[in-house]
Amino acid sequence: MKAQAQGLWRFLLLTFIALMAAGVVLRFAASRLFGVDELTPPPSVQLKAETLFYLGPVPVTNALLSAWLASLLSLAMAFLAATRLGSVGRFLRGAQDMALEYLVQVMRTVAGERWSWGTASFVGTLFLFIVANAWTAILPFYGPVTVQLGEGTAPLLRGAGTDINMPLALALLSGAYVEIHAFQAKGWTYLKEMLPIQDLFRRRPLAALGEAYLATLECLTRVARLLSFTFRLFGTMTAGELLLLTASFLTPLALSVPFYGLELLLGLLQAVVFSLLTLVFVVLGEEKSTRGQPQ
Amino acid sequence: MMDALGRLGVHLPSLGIYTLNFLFLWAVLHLLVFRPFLIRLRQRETQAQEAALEEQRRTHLLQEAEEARRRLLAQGREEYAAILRQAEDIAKRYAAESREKTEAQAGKLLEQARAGGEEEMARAWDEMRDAFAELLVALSERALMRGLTEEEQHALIADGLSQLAALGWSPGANAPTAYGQVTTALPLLNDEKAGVERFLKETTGRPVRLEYTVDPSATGGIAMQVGDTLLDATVRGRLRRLRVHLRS
Repeated sequence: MKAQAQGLWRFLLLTFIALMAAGVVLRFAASRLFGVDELTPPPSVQLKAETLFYLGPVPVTNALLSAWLASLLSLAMAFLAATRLGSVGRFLRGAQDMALEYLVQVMRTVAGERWSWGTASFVGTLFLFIVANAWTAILPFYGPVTVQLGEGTAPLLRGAGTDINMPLALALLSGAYVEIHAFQAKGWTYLKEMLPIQDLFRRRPLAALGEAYLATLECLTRVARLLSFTFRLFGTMTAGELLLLTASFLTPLALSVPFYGLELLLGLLQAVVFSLLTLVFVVLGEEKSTRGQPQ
Repeated sequence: MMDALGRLGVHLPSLGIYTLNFLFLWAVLHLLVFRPFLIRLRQRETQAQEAALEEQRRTHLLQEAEEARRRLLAQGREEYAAILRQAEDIAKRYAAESREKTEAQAGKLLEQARAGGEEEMARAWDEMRDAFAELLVALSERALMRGLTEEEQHALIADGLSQLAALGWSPGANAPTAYGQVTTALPLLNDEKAGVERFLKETTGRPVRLEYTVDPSATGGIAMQVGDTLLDATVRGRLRRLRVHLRS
C-alpha cells in the first residue's frame, strides 16, 4: 500500500511538472509563431454585473443568468432525487437524505426541540442556493465564453455571488424571515420590544429616552447584520473570482488548480456561515427579551 | 448613499428578481425535497415510537408472564405443601386407624386366645379329671382285685342282690321265657344261686333259665342280664358308674 501511494504521488508530481513545462513552452511557441504576446486577457475588475438583455423592466445580467442556471441545476438534482431516476437519481436521493439528516441534527443542536420545518427548509434552501452559485461559478466556461455588448465584450456567465444584488436579496430575505418568525413567536410583545413607546405615554421621559436609545441600537444592529450578511458573501465571492482570474493570468494552468479547490471550500464555508447565522438569529428572535428584567 | 449603492450595482428590479428567484426555489424545494423528507421522517419516528411502544408492551407482557410464573410457582408450592400436609394428615389418620384396628384386632385375638386358653384349660382340666378318674378307678380296681377275700366277695354278692331288690327292678315281664345270664367274680354258692333264682322268679313272675359265668374282672358283686335288661351290681360296674360320675 505504501509503495502504491508513493507511486501515485510520484505520478501526480511528474504530471504537474509536465503540464507546467508544456504551458511555458506553448506560450513561448505561440508568441513566436503568431506574434501574440498575451493569450490570456488581463483581469479587469467589474463590480456591476453586465446586463445582457431586458425582460420588461428587469435587466437580465450575466450574474442573474448564472443564478438561474444554478437554480435549474439545483431543481434538476432535486427532481432526480425525488423521482430516483436511474443510478444518478438514487445516488442523489441518498446524498440528499444524508444532507437532510445532518440538517435536522444541526437544527436540533441549535434550536433544540422547538425547530420548525419552515425554518429548516428556508435555511436549507439558502445553503443550497449559495453553494450552487459558488460552485457553478468555477465551471470552466464561466468567463471565457463572452458575448458582444455594444462596444465591448462581457462574459456570458458570471458568478451570481459577485453581483451585489444577489447577496443583498438573500440578506434581506434572511432578515425578513428572522423578523417575521420572531413576530410569529412573540406576537405584539415583539413590537413593544422594538418600539418601546409605552413609557412616553406614561410620562416617564427619561425612561422613554433610554428605551428610544435602545430601539435605535436594535435597528442599527439589524442594519449592520444586513450589511455584514451582504458584504461577507459579496466580498468572498468577488475576491474568489478575482483570485482565480489573477492566478490563471499570472501562473500556468496547472498552478491555478489548487485555487479552484480553495474556491470550492470557500463557497461551502460561506453557505454554511450564511445559513447557520440565519438559523441562530431565528432562534435568538424566538427567545424572550430580558430587557428591563432583573438579572 | 443611493449613488454609492448604484455604483456597487444595487438595482431594485434585480433585487426583486433575485428575491423571486429564491422564493420560487424555496417553494419548489420545500414541496419536492423538504416536505417529503419531513413525511418520511415522521413516518420513521412514528415507526420508532410504535416499535418503542411495542417493545414496552412486550416488556410489560414479559413482566406479567414472569409475575404469573412466580405466582403459579408460589401457588404450586402452597398447593404442594397443602397436599403434603393433607397426605401427612391422612397418613397419620391411617396410621392411627390402623393402630386402633390393629389394637382392636390384637385385643380380639387376645380375647380369642384367652378364650381358647380357657377352653383349653377347661379341656385340660377335663382331661386331667378324666385321667384322674381313670387313675382312681384303675387304682380302686387294682386294690379291690388284690384285696377282696372270698367272704367279702360273697357279702358283696348278697349286697348286690339286696340292692337289686330294693330297686324294684323288673326285667322283661312280657317275655314268654326268661333266659338270663349271671356274672360273678367267683363261682356262686348253691344258696346264692337259689337266692338269685328266687329273686328273678319273684320279680319276673316266671321261672328263669340261668347261665352262670365267672368273670374275675368283675372284681366283686353280681351282674345279671335278662333279655334286654342288664343289672350290673358288680364292683367293676360301680367303678364304671363312678368314673362316669367323676367325668361329668
